[in-house]
Amino acid sequence: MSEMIEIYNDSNIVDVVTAAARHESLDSNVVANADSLLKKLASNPNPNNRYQISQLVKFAVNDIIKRDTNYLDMLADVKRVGFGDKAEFETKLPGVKAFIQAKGATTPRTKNARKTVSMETISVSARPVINIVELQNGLANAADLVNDASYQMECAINGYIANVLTTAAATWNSPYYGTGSGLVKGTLDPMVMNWIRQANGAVIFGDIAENTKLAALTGFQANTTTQQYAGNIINEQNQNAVIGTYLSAKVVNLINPLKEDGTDEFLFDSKKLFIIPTGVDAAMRPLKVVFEGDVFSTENTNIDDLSWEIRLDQYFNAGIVKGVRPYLSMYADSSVG
Amino acid sequence: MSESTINAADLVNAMQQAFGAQKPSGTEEFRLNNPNRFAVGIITPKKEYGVNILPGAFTMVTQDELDYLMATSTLLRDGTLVLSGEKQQAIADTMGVKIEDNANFMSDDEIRKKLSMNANQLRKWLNSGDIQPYVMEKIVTIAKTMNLNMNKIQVLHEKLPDFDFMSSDE
Repeated sequence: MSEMIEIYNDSNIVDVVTAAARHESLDSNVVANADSLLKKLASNPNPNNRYQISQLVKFAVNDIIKRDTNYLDMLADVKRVGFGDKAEFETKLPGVKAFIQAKGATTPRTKNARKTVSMETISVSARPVINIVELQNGLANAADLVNDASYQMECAINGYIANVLTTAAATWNSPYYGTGSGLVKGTLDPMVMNWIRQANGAVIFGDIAENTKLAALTGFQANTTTQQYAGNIINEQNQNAVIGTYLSAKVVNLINPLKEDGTDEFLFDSKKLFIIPTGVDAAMRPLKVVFEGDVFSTENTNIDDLSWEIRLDQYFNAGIVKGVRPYLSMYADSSVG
Repeated sequence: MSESTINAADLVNAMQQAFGAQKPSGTEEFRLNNPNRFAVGIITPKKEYGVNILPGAFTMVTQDELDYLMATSTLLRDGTLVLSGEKQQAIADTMGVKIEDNANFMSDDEIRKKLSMNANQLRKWLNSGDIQPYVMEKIVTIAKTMNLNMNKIQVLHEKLPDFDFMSSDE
């Protein structure tokens, strides 16, 4: 009787498939061992083995999605809750007020107010299909499957979150939202300075294509026709394509993958810059993201067309909760091209 | 013979009197308004370091600058910046943008009129064009002052699900 193989979240093969899906370099012996284990499972596609392969895909996709949505910790108030649990987000509202009044007059009562919002989740789901004969013969590549599924799920999650944030931010007033026919210093600087003053610091977070334009704003005008730049800014721009700081705010590049293979369209709008205050509790951020549980999988074999399919689901949602003010600013570059 | 002197300003005045005080053609300036609650920056060849137009404020631009802005940004096309008077219609025609019934170019009163349509007409109007998020927010803010029925609030909620319809601005 063949031995029962069981795959867990911390099994070595999960790490190997995850690394292979991310095109990381791997020791050939480690890959060979993982391949032989996978072939062993696939060559005998009994219900348990098929279930173990779907578990492997689920664990690997979950690992990749968790790692690739890490950037959200910088931009949003992220809560990860168990299945069936509800995430509650608390935001401060205008609170206690003081009054100048006549001696002995009655002081109006004011409350230290907070608003609590709970968020229902929606699902991002992918359902890859493999021919069962290919699976049996080891022709189906688990790493490719993991790569494709996680990439598409990530794109769906990130695209949804980006849409929620950019649509909401475009309804805010100055200095939380600003736009211009390019990166206009006179418009951007007050937005950055607002957080330097209020929060003692800020981070500028955006696509490298937009971040790279910041260097041109650092110069000063010596006369009516010449703009002068500091030597170290020129060198920094040449070496890194971006400058490290602008108006004391750290400049951070957003990793912006292509939306779909075969297109040159990026997932995130490369014309948006986010100015995130530092030293402000994450709970104050207007973008709220909840992940309910981990990625889970179900699998099925279809006798009609000899296909084997895995359905992968991740419950999540994103929303905007603005209290006294949005602790985030967005600059939209409205230039074309 | 006494020596007469003439300074540059006098010379300009004399020339203006002789040839008329009109500016050379192409230098006529138009008022470019920012009707929004947020600042908008523009860069043109004449304003190469950029000009920040504060909420509710304006700046003067020439036809060349308008042409440049039309070619290099979406600010005029999507109604973020608007021109005063008949020039707006002329620029919209140049860009091929229809401004009648277009929420992005409407005044508060025009929006109020649209909000008094029935829920189906309102949905049709809101889905008819690419309404900018800040214009949608303006529509909803106006709607909050109008005591609309639940059907209309539902239509607006579909377009701006994150907007707090219940709280007052106080």
